Amino acid sequence: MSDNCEGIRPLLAELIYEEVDASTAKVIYGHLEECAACRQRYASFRNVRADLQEWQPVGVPAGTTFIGMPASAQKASTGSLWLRGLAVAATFIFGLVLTAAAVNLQISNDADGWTMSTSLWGSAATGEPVAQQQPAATPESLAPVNPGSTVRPVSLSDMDPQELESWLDAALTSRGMVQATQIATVPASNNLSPAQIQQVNSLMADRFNERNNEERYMFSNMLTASESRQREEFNATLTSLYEHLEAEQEDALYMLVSELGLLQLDTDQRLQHTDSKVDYLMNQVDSQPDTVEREERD
Amino acid sequence: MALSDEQLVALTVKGDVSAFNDLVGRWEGSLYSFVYRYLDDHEEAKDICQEAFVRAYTHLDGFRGQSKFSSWLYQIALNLCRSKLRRKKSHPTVSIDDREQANPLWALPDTRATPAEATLEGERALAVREALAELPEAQREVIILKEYHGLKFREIAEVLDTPESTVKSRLYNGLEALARALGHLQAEGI
Repeated sequence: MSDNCEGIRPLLAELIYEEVDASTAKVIYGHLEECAACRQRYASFRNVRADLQEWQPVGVPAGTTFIGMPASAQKASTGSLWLRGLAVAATFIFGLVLTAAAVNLQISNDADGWTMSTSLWGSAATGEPVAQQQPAATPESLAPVNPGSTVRPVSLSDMDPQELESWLDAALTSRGMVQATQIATVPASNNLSPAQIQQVNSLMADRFNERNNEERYMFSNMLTASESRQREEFNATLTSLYEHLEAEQEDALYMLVSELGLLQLDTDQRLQHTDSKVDYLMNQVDSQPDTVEREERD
Repeated sequence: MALSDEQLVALTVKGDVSAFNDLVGRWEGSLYSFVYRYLDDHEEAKDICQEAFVRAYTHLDGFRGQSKFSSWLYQIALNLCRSKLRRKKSHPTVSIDDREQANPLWALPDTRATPAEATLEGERALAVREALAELPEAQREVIILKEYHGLKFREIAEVLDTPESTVKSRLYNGLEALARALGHLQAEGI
């Protein structure tokens, strides 16, 4: 590869896409006539272009329609403001009604089979608001949460320790920690013996610790996952930055080589020009003595 | 006489809804072609194009007309494509075969070209697609925009927001890599 090749080669890509000016194209073609390696590279680029054209034009798949603007913008252009407000309000109210119905959905199983009922205010049987149905820490409060259920009201004082433990687990699941504790440990309402109260307290503490440990484990897992994700993203960013810097370096080197090549080419041409001038002058000088001698002879 | 892109943009900004739809109709083919060639997936290409048009519409106020509308649109789509590829890299997915074995619900249709489509395209085209897919993103972007969309170096530089000399060097390096991959150039010695 000659020194000129370094300057010419980067221009080959520009030449095959016909984005070089006429004088540069002339220089490149001049070089290609002399240099077989560059000629081969130029031919290979042309072949690549021909191959690239083998990949047929890609059209939008049939049936695909791109919407020119967001749906919200299209609505804005067609509906008046108060109508849109009304629609939003209606949607909001409908959502509330659906939520209330879903929250108060009751499913129970008794001798007649499975039954499902719902109401907007908390009780399918009476339609009374939920707040009025909340227990005030009385034995009735031990009745199941859902009136439709077949579970009968119970008295904690009649239970043996195992039954009490089962009941507490069920109460925790259906009513939550605070309410279950409150119901179970108010002596006036449940007539619990001191030993039973101690058992309830001990069980509650166990359950509380279990849940605490579960939550701690869950949060620890979430934290680990989050850290791992952040680390991955950080690594990806670093890699991307590194690639970017590498590309920049490569570009700078390419520019330098390209400029040097062109400079070399220009210098060579100037030197050739100078050489030919020198040769011409030398010839002139060489022919001078003959002329002088001839004149002298004459 | 058809209105220019810039005139349609001006009409859209003034509130003419149909003007933007005209722009979509005018550019959806080119944009889809570009995104599909970049991502090589029909479904992803459709999603990206739709999002690009929505973004263009919502940010049309910010389009100052310093570049051509098409360059701006390509730029939006390109950024979305890059984000998509970054997400894929940072959150690699489980292989489809594994997922299908674990749960048949995961057996979603493959939207890449089927073998039948590939046969129709021809082996050479398939080789081109594979070779293009192997190129670094920066080179692939330039080659697709230059070869399939005929953008000038200056326009590609606008889309990529990078100097023209960088575009030229990426094109040269990309062509060289393709020439090697497609067997037109030996790996060493030339």
